[in-house]
Amino acid sequence: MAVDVKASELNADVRVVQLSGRLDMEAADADTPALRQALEQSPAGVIIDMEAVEFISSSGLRMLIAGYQSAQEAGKPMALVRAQPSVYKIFKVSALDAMFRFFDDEAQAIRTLWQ
Amino acid sequence: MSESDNDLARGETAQPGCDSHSFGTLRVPARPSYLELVGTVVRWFGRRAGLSEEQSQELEVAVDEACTNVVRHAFPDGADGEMTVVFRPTDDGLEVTIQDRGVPFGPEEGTKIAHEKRSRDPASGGMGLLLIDRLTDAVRYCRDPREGNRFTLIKRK
Repeated sequence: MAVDVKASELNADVRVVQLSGRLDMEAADADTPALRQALEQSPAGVIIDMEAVEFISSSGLRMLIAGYQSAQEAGKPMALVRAQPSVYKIFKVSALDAMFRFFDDEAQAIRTLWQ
Repeated sequence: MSESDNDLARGETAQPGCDSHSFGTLRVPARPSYLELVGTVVRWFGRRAGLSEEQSQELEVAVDEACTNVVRHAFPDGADGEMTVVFRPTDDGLEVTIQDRGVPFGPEEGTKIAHEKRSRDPASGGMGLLLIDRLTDAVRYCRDPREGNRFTLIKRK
């Protein structure tokens, strides 16, 4: 699992967090601080790019839920983009697809939540 | 079948001697860094047993949840432990049994606790057993005096 954070090219106040690999217990334990830091440092909110996430377990879901709750408390939107069908299915099975805002790509998320 | 057998198979009767025709066994330390290896092997056996790629991925998530429970809860106080994952083909799919010699695990009680935790705060946990329930066709649990916890996940084609 790897975490890469950068400013969005479409809105510099939005941070794009790129996750990759397996989002399991090991990754969630290791990467939760990086996600929290990205949220704290983002002026306007975060986009989580899920395209390179090939696997997610409940540990990964909990990491994202904690991020979502922190974002809510700070009044910053959080979007998930480009989730693979097999990964999106786990959100749906967990009934979490209604909690998160999913978008096809970064541009759609920016248009919807930040404009 | 021991007296402690706890059939959670939602209508399916527990089979005695669930390891009698195993066609693969993986024994690894009960540590997070081994979850990926277990997942890779689950997908491999899933394909070999005739599961679709989607079914194999679903089983991989369910087995990961069961193994994560072992890593988190079976060996408290930092004790080193192992988990053994046994793969057994069936006529219509694959059974995966996760064994450990850690503290007893009761999935029925665990399911209740998980539901209560989810109701209070989804970030606090409790989703693992929900995923196991929804991504498998049946599960069985028994506490074997010799082998310890034996949690079997069944996935059908």
